[in-house]
Amino acid sequence: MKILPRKIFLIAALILSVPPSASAQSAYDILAEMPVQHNGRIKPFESFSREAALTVTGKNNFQGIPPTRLVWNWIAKPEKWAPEPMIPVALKTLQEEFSLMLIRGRVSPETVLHHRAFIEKTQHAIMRKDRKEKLSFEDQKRIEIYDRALFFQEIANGSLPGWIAHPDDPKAGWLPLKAFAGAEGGELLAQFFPPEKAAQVSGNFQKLLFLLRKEGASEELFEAASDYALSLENLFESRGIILDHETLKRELAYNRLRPFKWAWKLYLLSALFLTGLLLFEKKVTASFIFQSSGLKQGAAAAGLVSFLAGFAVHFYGFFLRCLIAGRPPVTNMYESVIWVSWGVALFSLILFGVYRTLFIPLTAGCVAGFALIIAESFPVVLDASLSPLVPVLRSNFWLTIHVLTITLSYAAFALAWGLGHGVIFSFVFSRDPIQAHQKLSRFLYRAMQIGVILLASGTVLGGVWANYSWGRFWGWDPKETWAVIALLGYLLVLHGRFAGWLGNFGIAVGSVAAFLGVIMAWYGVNFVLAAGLHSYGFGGGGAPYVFAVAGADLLLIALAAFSYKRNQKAVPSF
Amino acid sequence: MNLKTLDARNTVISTLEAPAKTEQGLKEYLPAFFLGIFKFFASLQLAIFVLSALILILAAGTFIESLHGTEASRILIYDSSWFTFVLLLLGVNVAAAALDRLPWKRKHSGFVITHLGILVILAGSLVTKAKMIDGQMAIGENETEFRITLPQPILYIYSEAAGRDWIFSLQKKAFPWQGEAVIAGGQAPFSLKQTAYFPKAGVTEKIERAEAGPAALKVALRGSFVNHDQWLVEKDPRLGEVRLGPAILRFTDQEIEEIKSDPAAAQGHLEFKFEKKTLRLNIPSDLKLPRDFSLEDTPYKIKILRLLKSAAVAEGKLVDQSAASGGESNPAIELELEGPDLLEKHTVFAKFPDFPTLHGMKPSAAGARIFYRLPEHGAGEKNNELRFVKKGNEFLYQIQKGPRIQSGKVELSKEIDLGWMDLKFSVDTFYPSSRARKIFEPQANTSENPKHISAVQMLLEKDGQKKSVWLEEGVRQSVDWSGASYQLIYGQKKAPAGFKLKLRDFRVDYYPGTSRPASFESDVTLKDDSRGVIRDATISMNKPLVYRGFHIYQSGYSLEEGRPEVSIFAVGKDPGVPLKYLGALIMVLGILLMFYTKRFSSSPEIGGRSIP
Repeated sequence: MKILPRKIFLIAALILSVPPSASAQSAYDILAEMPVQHNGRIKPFESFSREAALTVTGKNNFQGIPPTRLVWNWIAKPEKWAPEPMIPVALKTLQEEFSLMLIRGRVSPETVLHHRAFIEKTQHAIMRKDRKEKLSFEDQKRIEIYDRALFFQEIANGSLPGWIAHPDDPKAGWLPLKAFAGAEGGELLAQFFPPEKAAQVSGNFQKLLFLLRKEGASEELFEAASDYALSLENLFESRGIILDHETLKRELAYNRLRPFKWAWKLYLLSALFLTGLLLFEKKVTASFIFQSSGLKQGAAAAGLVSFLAGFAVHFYGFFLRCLIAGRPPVTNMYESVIWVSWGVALFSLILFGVYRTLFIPLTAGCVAGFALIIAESFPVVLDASLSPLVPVLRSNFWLTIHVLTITLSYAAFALAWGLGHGVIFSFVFSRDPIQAHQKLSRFLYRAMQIGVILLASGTVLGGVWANYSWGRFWGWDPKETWAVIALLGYLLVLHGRFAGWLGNFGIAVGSVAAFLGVIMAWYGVNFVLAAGLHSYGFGGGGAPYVFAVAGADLLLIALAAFSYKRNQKAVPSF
Repeated sequence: MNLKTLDARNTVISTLEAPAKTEQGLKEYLPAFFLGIFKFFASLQLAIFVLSALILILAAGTFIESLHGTEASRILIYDSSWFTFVLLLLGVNVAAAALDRLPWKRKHSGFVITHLGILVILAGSLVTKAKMIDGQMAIGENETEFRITLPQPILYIYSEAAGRDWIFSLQKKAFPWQGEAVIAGGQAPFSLKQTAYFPKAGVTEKIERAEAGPAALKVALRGSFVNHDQWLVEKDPRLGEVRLGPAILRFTDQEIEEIKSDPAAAQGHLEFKFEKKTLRLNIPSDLKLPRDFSLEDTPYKIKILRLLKSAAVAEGKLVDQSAASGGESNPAIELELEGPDLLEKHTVFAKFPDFPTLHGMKPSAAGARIFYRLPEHGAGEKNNELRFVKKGNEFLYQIQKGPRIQSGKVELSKEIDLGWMDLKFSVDTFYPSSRARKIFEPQANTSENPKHISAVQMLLEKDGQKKSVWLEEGVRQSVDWSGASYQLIYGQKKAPAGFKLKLRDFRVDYYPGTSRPASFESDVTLKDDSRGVIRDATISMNKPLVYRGFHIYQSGYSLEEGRPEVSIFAVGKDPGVPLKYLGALIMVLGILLMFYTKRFSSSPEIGGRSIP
């Protein structure tokens, strides 16, 4: 048993290990850093290529090729990549439609764009979409596959992204490769820029393309890439185009750091340490770190430190994202999951400050780590790319406050949900249940209180904002309504407790059940109901999984309750 | 889990719910019977019942909204009187629970304040229900609007002969409805019954054989990807000419004019469309400029001033850039039109026939529209046409593919190759005269198809005479009734706003390089004649104009080619808001106070109430 802590260290080392990175800078590093314009935003090519790779292949690293290299390969060798099966086809009926052309569940962009029967049906689906008719699931998927192929084609033929800014009109779309890649490309550029600089850019690009095509030596390639980057820089300079290089660098740093991946690893590491400790000690408080000695002390300190490190890198990532986007990033599902999981860690630290018990960061580490893993693992559903806001969400103080408050309440309830599990497990498994659950219940209750205050005031703030911008305080919009339902759910639990109908165990079960209301308000309204004024947050996908996980969780809780009740027949009420 | 069953009928208050102290406080004032009723309303069982009921009702409401649309959820739940009753029950419960603790002690403060806050919010929502205005103003650019369109359906009847109008309120319904409801008895020129209401209706036209009317035929197009039936009605503005993908189907009385590549028209021709006839003027390749032509049979002469192969505006002047761009990218002709008391200069663009009128240039005073047609060389698919021609007793079809024309006699149900793609056509039905009948079918409430609009059916009755009329929302319908003509409109109620709003300008700003809007803005002038107010303001998303309690915010817009921009404002006034703000503030303070003052019980088992 004494070996266990060492094992934990081993597992921790495994989790934290990162693949060795190439020390020498390659051509692709230079290309990754170059600014391009896509989707109404200027970003490093790497960000674009990540979005592109994900959109076309549904994967972050298709065939293990890093996105920048992959996308440049598409540009340089479209004839090789167009027939490559890259686009995933998951739907059975569509798989059958492509039949033999389907390879390992994927079809090539070329197949998609030249499959007459498919195109014909897709055109009809697009027509239906334009007429705003309700689309069948198959039609949605059909259009999605078609769009993926089209997106690939646009990149491969150089229509996307924009590479060269208009010198006089910052609102204009940037010129794509197609515009200056050809022999006459220099002439077009010469209309806006000094001819010799323009000629340099198109010449350097030709050379780079040539080397990429024949897969030249890496030094040659490196040189060509640097030349291309430099000539573009010169071109911009010649007409006084100034880009915000700091933000571009920040975005690169953000992309490379992958802060949320680090954060979940650190949270889970901390949870491992603290769980290990818990197996030996029933009472684990903050003072434990200073009082005890040896391995246990080390484990407690390591658990706390890794939790704090996770919290810090989590915050740093969030902060970077704020700076890059120029707004608080809580405008889509991915961003709200990031923010909520950070809120869980924040509240756990506050409660830890008051109660000094390592149980709290342990629970928070599990909840926040779990949430971040989900956010990072389903990139197609939870879109991590930074995209422009719809007009209604742009720069409004009350809106920001309202959204941040509401989502922070989700964080408090998520912590309560985690602590609820803790209480239930302590009832079922703990050797000294009264002691353990008594304390945990107190934390749970506090977390619920924080949540209730935040949700109540956040909902009211939403009303203030709605009145300010829509002229009405309350309109029974589904998002509003579900916020109230979630609040009522927790009020039900609290009143049940006041009445004495719910004891500690009952409240724990209640906190898990009431969290379903939060899930509906947070995820369900956007992804399941998809109705109402909050339509900017709508997305699709994942609903069966979310319900399966929620259902499995409730089942687990019900089993725990059943087993507890059987053991505690003597206790009439809980 | 032995949660007690929550039952509203359970008026027997368990000892748990009735602390001894409180009974003393109220016993002195209330007889036992009323005390019992009061205790029921103050009970936690009722609270839990109401909370659970609200959760279920509201959840159901959101699912109804998702499945059947916002309107349905409002009619069935949120705006219904029984829902108001549930909220009132909540209010009574909340108030009674607070009164039940009389006389209040310091420890009650958080709890009492929270409940007071909820009561104030509920009072505010009652005010809202009674007084709220939530409508729309759609204003075209440079237009002024003084009425708010309210979401209250009405039937408007106007008689020019009688010089008066009638307005009747209609009832909204959650789902398509058919039945009979009396709308007006004696007030209208005829008695009115509503026989159908479709929140969203799809309108299809059925062509039927008739005694008189235009000829009609049904043509079937068949191919490996196409399976399409299409009705064509002779010279009908809509069904006389139907565009299907790259081809046109026509039913008319004129044969296709053959276009020969004419050396005399090597540079295309000018077309002068007068009201009664169309003149054509060929432009040969060896045209010396300037050159005069006279238009035959008209008093007009024209002088071609310039021929531009690629017109472009440079330094405020129209210049030929064909040398620079190396091609005919924008051919245009500059000409003078001379006639009695008339001398006009026109620039006609071949590729932008609407260009002059779009840019504010006046059409010719000679009443002609001038077009510059380029020579048709191999302009292949664009000219695909299947034309049916009825000339006296002859009934022909003509297929045009590029410059080639193939003709033949129409025989019913005979398949003929079209020559484009792999299509075949056949005429399946032919009526020498026909009429169109509109058929209304209910559609899903959630349909976003702009063609699906609300419709009602009315039954007009007087002196044993009956007439049934379908009315589409916002579409005027003429009804002839015993010699007089009436205009019927099914629309929305409009109420004077008390001020005038003029739209001066509307702008959409896009994210750089995309067609994704970043913001919408409207410059408006608000005028209130009775108060002497003139105010210029810019309304944008999240920046409404507030005037006398009205919030006027940017909710949408409509940009249609060839039409002025229309900005749509939502105009809302909610007099319940001050009460709601106050209540919300009180409630949040109360919750804070409650959680702050209430110490968590440290006893091992929490048995009793925690708000003692």
